[in-house]
Amino acid sequence: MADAAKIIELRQLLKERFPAAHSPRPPDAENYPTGIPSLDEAGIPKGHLTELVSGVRSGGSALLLRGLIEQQTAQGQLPALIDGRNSFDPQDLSPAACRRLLWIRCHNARESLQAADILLRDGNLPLVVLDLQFNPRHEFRRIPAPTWHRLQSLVARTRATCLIMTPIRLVSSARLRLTLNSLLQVESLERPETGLRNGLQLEITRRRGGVIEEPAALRELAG
Amino acid sequence: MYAVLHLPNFELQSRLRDDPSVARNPLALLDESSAAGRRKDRHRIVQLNRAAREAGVESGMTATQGQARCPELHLFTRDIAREQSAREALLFHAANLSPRIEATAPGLCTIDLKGLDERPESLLRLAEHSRESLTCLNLQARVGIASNPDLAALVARCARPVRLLEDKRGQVAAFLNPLPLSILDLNPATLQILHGWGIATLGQLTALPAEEVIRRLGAELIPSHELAGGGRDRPLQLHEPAMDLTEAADIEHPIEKLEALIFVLNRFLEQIAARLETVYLVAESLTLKLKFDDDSVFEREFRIPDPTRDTRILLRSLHTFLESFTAKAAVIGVSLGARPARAAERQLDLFQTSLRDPNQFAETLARLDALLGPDRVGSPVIEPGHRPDAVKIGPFQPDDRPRRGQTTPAADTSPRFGPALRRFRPPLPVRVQVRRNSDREFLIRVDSQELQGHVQESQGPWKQSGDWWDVDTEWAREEWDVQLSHGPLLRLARDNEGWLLDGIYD
Repeated sequence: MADAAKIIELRQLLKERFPAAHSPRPPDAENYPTGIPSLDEAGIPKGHLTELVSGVRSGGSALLLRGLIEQQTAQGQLPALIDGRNSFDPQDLSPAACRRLLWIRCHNARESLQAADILLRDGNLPLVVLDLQFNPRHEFRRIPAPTWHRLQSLVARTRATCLIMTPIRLVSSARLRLTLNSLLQVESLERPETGLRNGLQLEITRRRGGVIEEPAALRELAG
Repeated sequence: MYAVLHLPNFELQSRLRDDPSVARNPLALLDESSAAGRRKDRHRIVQLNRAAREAGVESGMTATQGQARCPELHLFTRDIAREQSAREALLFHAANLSPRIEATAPGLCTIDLKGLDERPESLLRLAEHSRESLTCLNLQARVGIASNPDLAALVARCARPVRLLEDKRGQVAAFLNPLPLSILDLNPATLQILHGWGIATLGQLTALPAEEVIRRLGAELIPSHELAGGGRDRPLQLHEPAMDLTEAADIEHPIEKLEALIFVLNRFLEQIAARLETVYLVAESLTLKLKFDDDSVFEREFRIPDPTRDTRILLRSLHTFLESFTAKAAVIGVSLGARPARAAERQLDLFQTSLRDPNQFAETLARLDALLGPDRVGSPVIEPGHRPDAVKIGPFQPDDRPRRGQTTPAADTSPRFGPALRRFRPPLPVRVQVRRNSDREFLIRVDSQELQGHVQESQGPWKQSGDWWDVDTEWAREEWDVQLSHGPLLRLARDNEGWLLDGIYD
């Protein structure tokens, strides 16, 4: 009995000394409404990094990006696009979407990550898309490992939503990782955009708290 | 009735606006033209403050003589940029009292008070308020009010610091008669003649028969004689003050460090903010111009998303940009202008999402600009015409309301087809193997630094051209959509210089 009392007393002391360690687990992240059915179904979390991997060229990532920008601006939001290789083509965007999009034209991954750091610290814009899909792979080797954790801490602080588009698995601290498993064909050039986008195959390959797959990204970079 | 705002020793006051704390010291302004080609110590003193006068310095002395009388004497030369700023500040202030103002002379502004309450106590209150407002702008003014512009100017010069001269019997003459002739700005030879005749005051001058005096001394005496008699009611040459508020200065000691430049800009912002406050306006943008000693000039506009006159916020916008700014030469001239706006002009649409902190966001945009350089941060602007990739960066202004002079293009509601294109900028040169069969071409293989492969399927060509009316800008090309055997869907283009890889459909 005396031992039990001492244990209880010790627990109470630990709770008083280290209250953070005893706080209840935070609830699941609230999802950001993108307006794109496939993304909303996957659930893009607010205050966290989400990675969208498209391992092939012509996988449909730019199509998804354009749709996301149109939907967000139509909802009155102000999305930001950090364009990793200045490859975004706004030619077909509506005038309203052009006016409400903040387009940051970078030339390489290093500039893009610096721009992301500045923009995510600001916290004014609810959605920041970092598009590294078109960047050459050798640029990714130079990204320091803590970069993603730093970006994660920034979005957690400001509750922004950050979607990072990559050609390979890269973002170690992504709460959600989606993979595009599509390949566009010539005939898609004549199909309506909305139908094309709805036909993209999006797979959830990681959700924090679920199965953690092997770090295949490291093997690819080393290769 | 007319009011005249008079800034005594205008050129000296303009010089001291940025640092009013030195005004307590003995100060004098040199006229460089009085010793053109001679050494600076031979320049003549043309204006001096009370402290210098009390120390025995007099107007007309050389710099050396002045400093001999008063070793603590601070000497200044004229600064035209500062004089211009002071002049604009004076006129801007006057324009808010009445729409009918005249820029009578440097440091002298005449205001038509018609339409205002002309009771003496009301006019005096207006004059006092005006003088206090100008003091906030580091301008020491005297205010004179009288029944005609010229008389009001004389009253202002004699005011200590505010005086109203009513047009009542005897009052005008009682004021004018004892005034010395030196107040009339007569030419020295004429003044000497009049003194020789024993004429020393305006009363003595007006006692002489006007025709005889003018016949002996010349027609140039007519205005002075009229003024000595009370002036005349003449129409004002109306002045339209510009809405831009600009403070400028030529820098005596070239600035090489950021801290010194920020110090100057902070002073300018304080002046601008004080002027804005007097008229209940805020700044919606700032324009910074820097002149360097290699004759180059830099100019940039900073838009303030949430217009304000808070100098800390305005300075932050400038500071963030200047931290990353580099120049090859020292700064010898600085100009800072503000575009005024009403504080409540920007109204948010009910369904428009607002920025949490617009000024913080402006600073973020400035930091991105500083990181990436010009024309890389903003909103996409599609240029008119059909030239491929005719896009540029415009300022990020998500307000949906059309701006003055702009029409909002109608939204294109027609459905879009096909995937998006990821462009190479500039388009990449590429080698394309082509087979010709009668009148058709077949693309066989594509080779470039970026990617290569055999063509599985292709569509095209689609011919495009534009600007045919201009030899310098006309263009023509063919576009092909190509799928390589290992997957990528490309857009190729061919013009008179060869094949290019425009981008990859994604």
